[in-house]
Amino acid sequence: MRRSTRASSTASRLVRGWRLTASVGGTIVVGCVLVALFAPLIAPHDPIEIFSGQLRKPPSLRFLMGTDEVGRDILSRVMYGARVSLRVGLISVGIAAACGSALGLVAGYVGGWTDALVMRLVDIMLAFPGILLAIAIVAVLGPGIDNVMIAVGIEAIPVYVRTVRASTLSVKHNEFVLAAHAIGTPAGGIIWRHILPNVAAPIIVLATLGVGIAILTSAGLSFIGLGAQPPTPEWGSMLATGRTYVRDAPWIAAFPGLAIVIVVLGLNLLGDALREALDPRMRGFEG
Amino acid sequence: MAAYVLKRLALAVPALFGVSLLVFSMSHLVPGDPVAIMLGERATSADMARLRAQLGLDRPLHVQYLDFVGRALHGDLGTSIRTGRPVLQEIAEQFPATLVLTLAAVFLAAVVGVLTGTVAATSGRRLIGGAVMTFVLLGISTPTFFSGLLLIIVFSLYLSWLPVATGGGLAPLVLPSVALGAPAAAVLARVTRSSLLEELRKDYVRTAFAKGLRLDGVVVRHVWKNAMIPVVTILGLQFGGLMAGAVIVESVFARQGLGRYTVNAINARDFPQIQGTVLVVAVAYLFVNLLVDVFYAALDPRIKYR
Repeated sequence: MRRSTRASSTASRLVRGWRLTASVGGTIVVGCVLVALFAPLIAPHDPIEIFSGQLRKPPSLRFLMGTDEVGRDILSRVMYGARVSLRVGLISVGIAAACGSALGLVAGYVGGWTDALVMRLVDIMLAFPGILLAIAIVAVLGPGIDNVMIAVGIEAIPVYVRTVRASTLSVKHNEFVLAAHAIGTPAGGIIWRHILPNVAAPIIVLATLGVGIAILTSAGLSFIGLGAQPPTPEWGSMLATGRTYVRDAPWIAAFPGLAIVIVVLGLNLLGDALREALDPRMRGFEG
Repeated sequence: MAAYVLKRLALAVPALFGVSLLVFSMSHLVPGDPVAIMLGERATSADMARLRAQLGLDRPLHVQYLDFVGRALHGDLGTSIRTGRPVLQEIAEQFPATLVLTLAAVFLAAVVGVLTGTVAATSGRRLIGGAVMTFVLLGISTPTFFSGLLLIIVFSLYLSWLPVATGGGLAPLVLPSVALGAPAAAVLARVTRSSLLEELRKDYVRTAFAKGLRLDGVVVRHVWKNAMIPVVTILGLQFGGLMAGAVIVESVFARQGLGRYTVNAINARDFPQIQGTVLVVAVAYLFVNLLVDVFYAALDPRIKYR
């Protein structure tokens, strides 16, 4: 009796914790999306407008986050920066999820030499650690935010291939798949209509967490000068120019940096909440 | 054990082949004429023909690839277009600084990550668990170039406790390795926590508790050893990621190393330099993963017999 009471109170605590994580993460992400969508309406100034005589001004009522090294409003640039970062995050995750899931589904369902070929390709891609593959791709395509998007997308493909392939392998021997095969449904139809819906959960979790990682990676590439080029308001490149003035005008680097941390934190919280909701085993030790 | 190491070495060969193929293709996948891009707009057709011949681009592709691999195996990664010096020699000058930074960050991540993960898993207090998980979330959400800048502002500019990059000894290494190692520490803390939690549910732990052992005794003597297998795997994977991540941290702290070298090479479109660096880091990463596999075969004897 006591045991069951304790178990139910633990369960309700977990549900409460999960709801808190999900709602904090969700609020941050929705807030960021709204800022990005309505930046032209809510930003107090044009992000590339230069105010003469207003160089490196600290935060004030006129410029809530201060001005940068050439006299532009940092708040407006941070707001427009949300557009750039979210666009990069969503498109690169879109590239990774679409290509990775397609390859994973085909490799897992078809098997044989197709599977072997795809997995060897994935192994080769995984031999390039972390950001190195993205750097190598940008080196080939040339610096620029669009190329960074492609590079970050390609770099993330292997994770999707592996996860989706593993899920496909466990789903494809289920009776509903065998039944669909028996009534003559073509392989493409089986993959699209029967397997994909059943492997969608891990793809959604990976994609949510992936947007945060993509924003971090692309901001890092912009920080070292390989991504967005001036005067594009991009958080990584804003931080890079701000570092020259950290002693006298730390706000130039601080606000874009905080923007990155808050958005990625929101995406991580939301991704974790989704993962816990979709995979109850992740909910921790209740000793 | 020797058979296992040999098997693992054999498995690295296709990956090495793939890496060499990809690195070789880099200069050929460039949109447009790679020679024109490398030399810039003012190059004459004679300059372009000379560079094309120097790089061997006028020969059939398979000949070029075999030549590339043959030379790489003999330690010849080509000559830099910018400086005219052998690329391997340039990389050898930059590599130690990056390796030292990476090792310092790995060490820091391992110690901080495993300890905080253990505290989070074993502490009955929700406050401690919550604090550790907040550290984990902040650690994985903060980019190294931002935490690096914050560290410089607080510890170098305001408190003047630590130098940014200049000077000898270990002091200039502290801030960059903290910035680089923090996200890895957060990931390791999370993996250690979940791995320990999983082990703590097992029967042998219940037996250890039943015979009267205390929680710390059970964790140190029984659970840690078993829970460390996924931790070692993640640490190995993190090593390569950290070496690549050093590119950005070196740029924040204006440190010498492969990072700045690579960024300069990309901006100058110096392909021999870019290809050389990518090849060296990828091979180093494969080698570290091999070491990790061997290490955890020693940690977990079951792996050798699979």
